[in-house]
Amino acid sequence: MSADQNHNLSAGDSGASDDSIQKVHAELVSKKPEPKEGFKTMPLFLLGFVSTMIFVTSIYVVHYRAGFSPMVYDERFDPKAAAGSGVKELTPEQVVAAGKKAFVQTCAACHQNTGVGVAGVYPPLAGSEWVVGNEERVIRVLLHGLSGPIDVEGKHFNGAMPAFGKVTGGGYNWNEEKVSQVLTYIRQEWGNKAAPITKDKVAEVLAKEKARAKPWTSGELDPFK
Amino acid sequence: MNRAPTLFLGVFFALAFSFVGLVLTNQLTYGAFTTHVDEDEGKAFPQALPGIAAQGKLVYQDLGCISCHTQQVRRPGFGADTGEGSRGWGERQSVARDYLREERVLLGSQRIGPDLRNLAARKNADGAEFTADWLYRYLYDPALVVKDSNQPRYAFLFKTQQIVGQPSAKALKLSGDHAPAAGYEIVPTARGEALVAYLLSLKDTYAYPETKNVYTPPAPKKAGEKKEGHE
Amino acid sequence: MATDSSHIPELTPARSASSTLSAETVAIDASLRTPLTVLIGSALVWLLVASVLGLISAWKLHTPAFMDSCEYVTYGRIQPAQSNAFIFGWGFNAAFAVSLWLMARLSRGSLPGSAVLLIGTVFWNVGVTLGVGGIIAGFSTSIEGLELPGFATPLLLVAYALIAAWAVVVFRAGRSYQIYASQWYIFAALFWFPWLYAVAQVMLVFSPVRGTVQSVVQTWFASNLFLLWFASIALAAVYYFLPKLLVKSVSNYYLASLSFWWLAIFGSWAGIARLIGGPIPAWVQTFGAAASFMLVVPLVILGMNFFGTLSGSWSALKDNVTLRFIAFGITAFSLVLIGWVLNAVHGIAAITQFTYVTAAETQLGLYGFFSMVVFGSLYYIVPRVLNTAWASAPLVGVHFAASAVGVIVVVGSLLVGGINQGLQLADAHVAFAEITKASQSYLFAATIGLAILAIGQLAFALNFFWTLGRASADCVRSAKTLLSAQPEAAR
Repeated sequence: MSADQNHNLSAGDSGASDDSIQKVHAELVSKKPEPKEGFKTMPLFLLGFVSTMIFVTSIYVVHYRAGFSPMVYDERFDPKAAAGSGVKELTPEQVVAAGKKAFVQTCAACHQNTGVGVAGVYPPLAGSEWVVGNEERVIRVLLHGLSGPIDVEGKHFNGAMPAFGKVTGGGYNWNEEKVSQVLTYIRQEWGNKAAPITKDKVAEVLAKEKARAKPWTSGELDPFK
Repeated sequence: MNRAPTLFLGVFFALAFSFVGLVLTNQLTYGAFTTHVDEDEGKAFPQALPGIAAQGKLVYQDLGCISCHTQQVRRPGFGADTGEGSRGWGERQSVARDYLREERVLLGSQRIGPDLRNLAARKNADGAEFTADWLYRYLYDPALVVKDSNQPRYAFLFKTQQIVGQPSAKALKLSGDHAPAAGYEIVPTARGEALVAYLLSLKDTYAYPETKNVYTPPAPKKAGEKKEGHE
Repeated sequence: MATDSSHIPELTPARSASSTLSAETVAIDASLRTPLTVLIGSALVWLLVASVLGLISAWKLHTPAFMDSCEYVTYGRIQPAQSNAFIFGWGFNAAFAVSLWLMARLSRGSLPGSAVLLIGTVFWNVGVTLGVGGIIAGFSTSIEGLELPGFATPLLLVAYALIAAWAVVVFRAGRSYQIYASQWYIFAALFWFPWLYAVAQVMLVFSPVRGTVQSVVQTWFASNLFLLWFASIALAAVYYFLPKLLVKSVSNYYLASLSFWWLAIFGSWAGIARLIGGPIPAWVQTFGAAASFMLVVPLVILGMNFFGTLSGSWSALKDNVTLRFIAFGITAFSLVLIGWVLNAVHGIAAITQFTYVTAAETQLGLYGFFSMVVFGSLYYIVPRVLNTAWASAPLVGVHFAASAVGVIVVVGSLLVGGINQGLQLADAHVAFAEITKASQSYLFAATIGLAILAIGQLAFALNFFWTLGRASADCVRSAKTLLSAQPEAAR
């Protein structure tokens, strides 16, 4: 290797000595550059730049703080604005969607996704006069269940439906809102066209039948046809 | 800056700032979350993994699946994870409580393979649900069920055994080159079964209250509204 | 630049008093000879191990059938094994070597004795070996950046204490009264790392916190490992070698402390921006993004410090391999910081998250910046510590060319491939299989880049061990080497 190329690859100490580096820089720590004629561009530019950065990021943080809530995972969401708008009522579409979800999870096992039921055992819901008829009757069926023989659409069925409401002996304990959502769903699906059912109506029925502790039979529900 | 103690104090507080602000604050604000008790269903969510799925999670970690797969669904509008016109990798954004009962949170940071958070709740490329059979075939040789997959074969999660009496119900149905020799069948080992059980437990379908904290853009003003005040 | 004070004699560092080494410097270097040899030797062995593991895992990425019948080299095990071998094997051993030497030189204190340091080094390497072996055997913790199993990590903390303590001893024993920028960074890094590591180990491995607080801790650790440990040590080396080799003071040096504190205070929050869009409270994501934006200030100041010092002296790069490596490194670091800032913008993060872009940025930071600066530093340190010139100049040239080309190929292909992957992922109409097919060529290019890097590393390792061989043969003649050192040509 020649001495003037890549000489730092050899063992001699090249370049500045260590103590001079430290001495020089100790002085430079406090020394700003000499000003040219006119104004000091560098410190001014830097001051402006740093201030702008702080300002811009502060605005960013305040805008996207999402209320500093540990429950919010979307930075565009403002919990205060949402709280101010009060309890959100579900739109009719959301009610039907919620009812459909519960139906598919639970009811479809017997009544089938298509609402046609199983011959002789589980009555169909599609086109059923029980579903689109008096809301008092269909609410009671869902709340307390129904067992024994039943005629639907001219055909005969004999099975047992459990109680879904918050009733004595019930295993599902669905609240009024869920009961109303499922009933609203089946009353507008598969060609059925009947009015939605509100949770207040369900609550009213529940209160009236507080004493009921076993599923209905078809005959007992005749007064509500 | 010439005094070592000043430097030390500054250095200490610089890291203490982020340690307290990030780590400790989050540990206090949401590290103490509890499960959400659903009165309707009488259960607490999130639910703990069933035993075999918990073992499967250990297999997942042992084989390092996190190197290629994430387990987090980002919010609608952020890529195509969920929402309108998305890949349908989840019904909603993943929230912190989904991971509450996990001893090892496996969020992942690479999508060399698809996100797995809702594997059991969505459909595969053929539009069918993921079943144990499909997953066994996929792990044994991905080419059997998916074209152009980057997944390596995990044949070591299976063993070839002699058919004694009846063939096992868990035997893979393979044909052609892949089929084992006559009188033999390929069944998953315990590790393979555990892993598939874990994969089939991956679904975040419960709607916690905080899943409603989703930003909705303000409704555009209708032309008629402005006139109302003048009527 | 008007800020160049090289025309003011008192503010220009003076050359070494004569061409011979001062007795003090000789003593310092001699005291470090054994520990540094062991540290650098282990670092290089780990570098080669990581290279092999890296080539296997990169090959598996585009050809998954490669060795897929062997459970021990499945991608999910080999990739963390490679990254931990690289970070904890190569990265830490090299960082210890460079920081110890810098501390000793700048404090002008020699190392009193090397036995404890050597024990620490051995413990460290045993720990990393146990850990990497554990990952390959299936005991990985599956926490990114902390995959080393719990049975290996306490050993690492003990080893660290044994090694880091000596940097403080050297500092206290020294005769320098001023604390220079390099020393701030090293001091800070040596203090920060055990805090980061201990917190991460306790809160993630030994007593895991609940839910996604784990992700916050893990990201805090992983990003600070790069910024507050690796980047700090590399910056310390740059602050030392630039003025030393160019015989100029650092341009706008009065801003260096601002940059240091800014990086320390805001940089430690910036890493959380990786969790944007995840199941973490939104305010945490916002703070991470804001802190990432703040990184523009150190970017500008470090640019002024380093590129300002280099400006006007670019011709010096031709003759000096250390300067070439360092110039490459600081360019890479500027790009890394720009990358961090850009990835905090939600629109960009939606595309680049979870793609090869993150792999490209990691490579750029750990290899393009840290490793390149360390290579350059070692080219300066080794001859002085071993008292022998480098055995082969052509190998040095091969190393630099291969490293520079390799980094550009790897980072470039992963970046372009990753952006492509991200754009396709964001379009739900593109089937996942198509995305996989489209990435193949980029992954293959990245493998080629890794192979080129491996050639460079092999050249470096060969050169080092050859030089070491010469040094041991020469140790009898060391006195004569000192006395007959050639006078430097005045520049």
